[in-house]
Amino acid sequence: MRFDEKNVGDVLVTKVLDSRVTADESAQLKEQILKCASQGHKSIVVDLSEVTFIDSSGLGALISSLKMVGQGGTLAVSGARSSVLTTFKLTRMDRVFRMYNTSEEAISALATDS
Amino acid sequence: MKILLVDDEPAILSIQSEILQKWGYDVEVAGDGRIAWEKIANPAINFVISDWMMPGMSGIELCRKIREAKLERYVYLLLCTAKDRREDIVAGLDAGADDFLVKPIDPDELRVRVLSGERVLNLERKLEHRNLELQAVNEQLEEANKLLEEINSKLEEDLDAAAKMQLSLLPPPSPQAPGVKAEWLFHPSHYIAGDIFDFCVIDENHVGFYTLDVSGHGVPAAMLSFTLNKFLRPEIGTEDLLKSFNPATSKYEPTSPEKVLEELNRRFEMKDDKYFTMTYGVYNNLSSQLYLALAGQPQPLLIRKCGKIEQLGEGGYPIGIWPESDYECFGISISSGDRLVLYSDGISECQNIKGQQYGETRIIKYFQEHACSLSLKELLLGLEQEIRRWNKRGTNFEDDISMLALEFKAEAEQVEA
Repeated sequence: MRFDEKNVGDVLVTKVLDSRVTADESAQLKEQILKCASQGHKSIVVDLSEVTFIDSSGLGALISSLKMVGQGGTLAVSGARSSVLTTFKLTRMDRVFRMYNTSEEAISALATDS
Repeated sequence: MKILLVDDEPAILSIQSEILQKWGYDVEVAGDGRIAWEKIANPAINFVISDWMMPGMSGIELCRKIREAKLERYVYLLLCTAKDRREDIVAGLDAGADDFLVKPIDPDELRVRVLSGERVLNLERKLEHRNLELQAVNEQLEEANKLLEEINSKLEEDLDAAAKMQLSLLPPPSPQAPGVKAEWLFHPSHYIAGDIFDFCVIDENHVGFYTLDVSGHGVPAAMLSFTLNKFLRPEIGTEDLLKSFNPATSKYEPTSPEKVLEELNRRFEMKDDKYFTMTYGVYNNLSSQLYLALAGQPQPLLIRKCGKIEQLGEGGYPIGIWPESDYECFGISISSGDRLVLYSDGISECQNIKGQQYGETRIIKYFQEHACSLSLKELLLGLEQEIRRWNKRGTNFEDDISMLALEFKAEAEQVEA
């Protein structure tokens, strides 16, 4: 699974470059987010603008990453496409993750937090 | 290497023999072709230096005989000839000779041609060796392959057995209860599914039903589905997840759907990222009321008898993620002939070759087109056909496919089955 990382101030944006996040890739997604968190980043944005499909394993990986990032940090999601957004809404994950249309919006929202 | 010298002139045999032995070679002699042929039976001989013109069997005939015998080892053939003409060389090569020496034989030339032959024989021996090694490796691979096939076969048997067990947990085909009947479809993507559902009679006025989908698929997801299915069965005469005893009325009453989900959520905490989505409902045939609570499954579709289709509810937290998640119940009035369809996301998320999902819009359109003309069973089978056609051609479904549908009938109409 491929990622693109960029730091903007205190916010780390990790962009998923694969279009599908399923059982095969979900472990890597979790690893990647945990890696970012363990490097000390408190504000992490997962950019899903390239992702067209995420299944229950992918969602599970995001959820457990959110739990691990925990109290001290923030995990936000940006760029969710319509099919991904539907999955998030059905499972109320849109109430649990901070969701933004673009990574820029996410960055400014998280930057003003800290 | 053992060299056989063949010549009808004893003097030549003697001189050549001496020279070769001085050079360290192991030598045997034969005075004519016939004796030479008998000596070839000794597998140690792999080099023949033979005169061409001999009474009885000539050198070239000896060559031909040796080649036609297709011996196990390669025999290097050096022909000695007074003839130097091209056609003779061609004839000799044709008969199978490897090289030539022109008489009278120059010792230096003899030496280098023997060395050349030695190189060929060494190469041949190396190849033979390599061949044997490869054969041994091949045999090992075949053994390993056979073992793998046996293991695979056993695993498939086990999976088949597990699949049968899972099927036995499902409701019987076309289950019925007063005021409501059900139809269902179940197609695991790999032998066993992380999807499961049930239709249970809680009491003479209440039917409970659910669909659930454990995250992921295959064996781990299926195992959790088995546990949950067992847990969600009503037992007669005692409290369980689906009903509780009300001392005021001295009767068992069905648990309200959102409480069923909350209780499940309290008991099942996500391990290894496993959670499940679910829809649980209760139908009361006295009041014709349907109660539903949702936990992340696709929205149930209510197909009214008149043809109107409603997507019910708004979504809910999956079960097993946060113990404090709360769930909502909502009620719907049902009229005779109304139908309810619950489907798993394997259907809405089914992708075609272009990677497009079938999607809930197409599902709704399908029901709009066919609900009024098809029986409940036909309706489900028709949708299955649709997504089979949609699915990337020739492959299994990527995710488990399951559907549970209910049709509500007023008591009086129940008689026509």
